[in-house]
Amino acid sequence: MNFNTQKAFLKFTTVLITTAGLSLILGFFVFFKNLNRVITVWGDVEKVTAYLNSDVALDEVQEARRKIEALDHVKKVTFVTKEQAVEEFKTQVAGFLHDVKEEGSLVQLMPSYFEIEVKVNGTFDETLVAIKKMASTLEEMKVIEEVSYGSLWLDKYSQFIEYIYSFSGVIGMILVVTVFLVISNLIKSNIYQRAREIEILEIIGATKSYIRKPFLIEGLFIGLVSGIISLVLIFSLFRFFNVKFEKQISFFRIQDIFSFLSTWEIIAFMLFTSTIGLISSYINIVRFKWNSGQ
Amino acid sequence: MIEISHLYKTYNQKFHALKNISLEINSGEFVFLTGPSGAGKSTIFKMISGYEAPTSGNIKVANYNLGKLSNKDIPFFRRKLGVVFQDFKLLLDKNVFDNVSLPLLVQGYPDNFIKRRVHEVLDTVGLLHKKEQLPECLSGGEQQRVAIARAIVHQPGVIIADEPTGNLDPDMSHHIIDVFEKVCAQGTTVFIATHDLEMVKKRNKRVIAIKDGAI
Repeated sequence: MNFNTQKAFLKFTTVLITTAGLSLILGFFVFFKNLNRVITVWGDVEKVTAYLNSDVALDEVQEARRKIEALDHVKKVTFVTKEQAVEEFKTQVAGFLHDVKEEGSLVQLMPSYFEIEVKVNGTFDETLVAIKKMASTLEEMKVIEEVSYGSLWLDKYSQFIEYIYSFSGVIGMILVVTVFLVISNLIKSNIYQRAREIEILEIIGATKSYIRKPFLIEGLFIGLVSGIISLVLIFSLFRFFNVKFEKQISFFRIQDIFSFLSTWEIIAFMLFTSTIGLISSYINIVRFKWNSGQ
Repeated sequence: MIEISHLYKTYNQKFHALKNISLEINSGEFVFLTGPSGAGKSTIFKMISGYEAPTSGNIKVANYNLGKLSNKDIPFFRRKLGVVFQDFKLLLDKNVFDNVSLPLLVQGYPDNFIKRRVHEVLDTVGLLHKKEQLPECLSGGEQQRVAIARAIVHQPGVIIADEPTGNLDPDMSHHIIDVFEKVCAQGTTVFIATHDLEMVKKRNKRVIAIKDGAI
């Protein structure tokens, strides 16, 4: 193997291993991003129910509806009368109680209510904060007796998601540090293999910055190319799983939830990969043992 | 141009490679440094090129006092020097033209000047026809000539060459020394280490002999 082939082989190996590491990070990010979206939907936090007082008049209902519709994060408001509430109740319990009688008493017991659909824009925590704020505003309204959004369940759910975030954060950090160390060591061996080249450049009067420049460009290039390959690889895998598990995804009605990376996330990832290559090169070339006292 | 006074070099506090060396070489002078292997010739050259620091003593080359040289100044000092090493120190993945043009490239000369000057120097050492070849395709003698061309291409004030004819046949050795003489005639100081006493005798130049690290 001649010198040029050796150099090309080392560069190829460096790009290959860097790509593997970056793909791990990117795959992990895409997985947790989508997991977060799925569990937000499964948490069913999109609905708030506001039960009305029993003696509320129709014009008060309409006034309350207008006020609710004007609130932030409200997507749709549906008014359910006592009679409709009873019908819905009967449908829900039909499997357990076949003969629901005394409809009149039920109508007396059942309150009418507003079913409020919430606009979900952010993460689970952001949605939860918006819902809690909305609930306290609703509770202050005279016509409303009680507001329900499954607060106990949501708090536990929120705690669960916090654990997931902490776990993914720790794993993510370990992955980033590991990948950085791997890339750093590869670039280090690359630099040491070219120690002779550095020595010759020193002899003929090249300044430190002149010698460092190509190594920094190379580090940047390795990071960038590996980043692009990782993106293509993980995107292909993402598409593959979407097609392969199309039926299961449709069954759980989560086909619209899955997404790859936004343009900004792609730009951020490319910046991250380039920076990691650049920093690895910089640290190693600065720590390189210069032969001639420079 | 080269002034050395009371120079000592000791390795591991035991081995005294150079002992109280003092010498002076004037600008434009051609001097041979002779001595058997291990006498200290290469060590002196490493000191002169700023590649190693002396244990004690002073070295002044091309108006640079090496003892007072800052890290920032070292590359600029080296640009005043042309160094030919025993093992050539060529870039194996660069062709002859690229190797010879390196000193001009790092000093930021324009491309057209580099091309003209490199062609001129390659013609002088008789390698213009091999400018596209990689070092591994050249003989030892040809690689030595590439190293010499690289040392003289930027017209340095001082040239130091460690056994530049060590790998050459007698005819080529004489041709190479002629090249050095030509460069010297243009005002460059030439300091050559060799153990080829026959060649030294024929040239009738100043000779400094070193043995066991002392002159």
